[in-house]
Amino acid sequence: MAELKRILLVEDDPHDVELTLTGLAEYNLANEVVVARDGEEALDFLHRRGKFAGRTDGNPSVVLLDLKLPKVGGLEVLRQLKTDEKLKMVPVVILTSSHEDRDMVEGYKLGTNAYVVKPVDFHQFVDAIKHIGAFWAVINEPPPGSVQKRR
Amino acid sequence: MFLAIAAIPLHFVSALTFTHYKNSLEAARLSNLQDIAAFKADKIETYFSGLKNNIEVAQGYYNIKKNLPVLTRLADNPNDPKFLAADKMLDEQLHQMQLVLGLSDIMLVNSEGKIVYASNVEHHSKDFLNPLPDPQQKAFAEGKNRVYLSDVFFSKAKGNRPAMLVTAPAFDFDGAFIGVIAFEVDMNLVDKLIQDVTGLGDTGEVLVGMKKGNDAVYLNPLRHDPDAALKKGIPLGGKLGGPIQEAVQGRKGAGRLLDYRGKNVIAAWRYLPSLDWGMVAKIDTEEAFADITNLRNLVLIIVVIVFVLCGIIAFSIAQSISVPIKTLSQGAEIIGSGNLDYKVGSNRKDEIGRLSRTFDKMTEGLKKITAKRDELNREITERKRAEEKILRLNEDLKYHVARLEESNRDLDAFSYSVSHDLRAPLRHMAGFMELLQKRTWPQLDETGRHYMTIISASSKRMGMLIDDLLAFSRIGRSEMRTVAIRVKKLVKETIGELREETKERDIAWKIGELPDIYGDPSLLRLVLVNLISNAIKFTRTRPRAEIEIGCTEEEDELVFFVKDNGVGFDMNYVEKLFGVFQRLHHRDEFEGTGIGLANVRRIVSRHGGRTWAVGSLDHGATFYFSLPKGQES
Repeated sequence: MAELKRILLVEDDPHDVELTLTGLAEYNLANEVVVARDGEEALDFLHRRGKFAGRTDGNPSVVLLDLKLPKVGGLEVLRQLKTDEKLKMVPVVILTSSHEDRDMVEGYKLGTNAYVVKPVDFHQFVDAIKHIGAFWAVINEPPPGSVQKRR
Repeated sequence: MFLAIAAIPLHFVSALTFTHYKNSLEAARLSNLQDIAAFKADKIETYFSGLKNNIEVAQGYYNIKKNLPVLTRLADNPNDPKFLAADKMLDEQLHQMQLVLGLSDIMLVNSEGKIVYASNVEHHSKDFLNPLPDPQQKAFAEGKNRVYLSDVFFSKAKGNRPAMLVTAPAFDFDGAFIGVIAFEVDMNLVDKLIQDVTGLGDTGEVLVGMKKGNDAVYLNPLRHDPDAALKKGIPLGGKLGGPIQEAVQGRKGAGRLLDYRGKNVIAAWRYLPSLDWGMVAKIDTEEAFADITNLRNLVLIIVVIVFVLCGIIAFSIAQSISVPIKTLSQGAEIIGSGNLDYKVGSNRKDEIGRLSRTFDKMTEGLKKITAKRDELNREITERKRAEEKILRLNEDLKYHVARLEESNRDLDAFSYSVSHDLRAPLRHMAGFMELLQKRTWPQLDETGRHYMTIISASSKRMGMLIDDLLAFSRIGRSEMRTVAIRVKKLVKETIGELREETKERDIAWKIGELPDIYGDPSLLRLVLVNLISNAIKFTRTRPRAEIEIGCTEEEDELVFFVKDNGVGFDMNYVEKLFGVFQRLHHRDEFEGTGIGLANVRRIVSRHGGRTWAVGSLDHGATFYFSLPKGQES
């Protein structure tokens, strides 16, 4: 059975990746996560190029996007995504340490669907991840062309 | 110079007067000479025409008609009584005539040209039977036919004196020629007629001359050459004796010429046609114009005197005018060169004195003005220096402000980045600590569990600090949004928001009159939240808390305060109160990171105000912040 990769997590910090996956594991969503370690890799995945050239499945149901990324930054990834006809409908949740109004305003202007500041407290963090995963991957109906849910 | 100029008109007038007078005098002199010449000529001509008339009268004498033939007949026998009788008869008439007419002799000549009678007794014997004395014998030859005037000649018989003859024929009763009557004229007589030098001064004279060949010969003794008569000749056309040359050539005139001596004379000349003589009346120019010379000398003397007088006057005027003026001008030069203390000074009462005093006054005025100007210059220089200093300070200030802003930006960027980057590992610590706790809690003993709790609490606290730091950094960097704020309403809202912390407390709120202000509402709300929550927090130990919020209006700012009756603080550490993460109480007494007052100070200072606090340990505290009045509407 082909793995359904419905969540694209763009995160360079492996500890954050691990904590995030821990949080998603509570809804058994951990296996559906594809991790891109920087902006370039994320764009390659979405555009099916580079090492993702042969990818045949659909678009992810949600992109969890960190802002502080090596190579191409999070806001730039967001801009490219939301200006691409095929990808602009893909929901994006900015998941960041930044509390800055500037980042938040810029993110919403570029078309992000949500803006979540990672809480320092572990419980709060895990709760937040759980809620995001549950909402976007389970409750929300993804736009056409997305990876289908398991039935 | 001034004198020379002054002398010019004087000279001009003198010269003009002199020339005018000289011309008048010359004209007068010439006219006088002409008059004299005319008068003398008239005298001579009258005399000679008289002689002619008398000889004509003598021609008709019975005496001559009767007796001349007797004398002619008896000439060889002069002692004949008839001859003597005839001679005596003639004498009675002709001797008388000779005397009356002033003649030197009256002679009768027989038809053969021999003198048979002479009225002058002295001549009688010498002349008898001799011819007439004129050298050319023209007197007899011409006298046979008409009345004739001979040339002047030297009469040997009469002491070699110049003389001349007037002759006329004598006829008998039948009209037959019987001889010639001859009047002998002594030229002395003519001299006497003309040689009256009245009005001719010391050098003047009247003279007569006649043309002889190419010479003009003088007929009378000259005043300056007594032997000249008939001896001195003037060559016609020569330079000398101009007047006589003119006269003997038949011309009449007057003017200035050289006389026979070569002297300058003024002369009048005329021609006497009846005698074929030229007459000259003349006087030396020197004498004629002696008056003029005298006048000239007089004028010169007057001029010299006037000049000397002028000089003396000018000198004294110079002493009284130009010396003070010179002093004044020297004073002006000294003052002009910058010495304003110099005084010209003068006690004189005239214009110069007044001028000097006025000048001194002016100098004094100038001195005052100069002093004022110098003072002004000094002031201007000082002001300029001050301005330059201010400018320099401003430049420094601008530079420092720029540096400060730069370092503030750096600091903000740093604190942002630090907070941001600190949060991730902190989250990881807290997260994995939680996971570890879950996994190992049952196996841990009491101490192990205590340690784990501390680690968790510490990471939480560090998270809070970082969040506060981030907030503090944001306050420094966020955009300010200035609107009108109703402070009283804001205070009440803030108290309302803090209800959670006050619900089990007995707090006496005292809210005074609070004016509306202009500012950023969210930032000022943060100020009030911090100050009021602090007041609530630090009055916790009081059974009844008293919190007063008020405002006093100063000259140019509004001073808000929050006063409580809480635990207070030691004024020694008052400056630490507003520092970042500065605490004056133990954490187990009063919670908090110590960022609140730092935020308050930062917000107030961004609004242009000040923050300070007054308090004492255990006796409450008052926190003040001011806002400049310019910002209220």
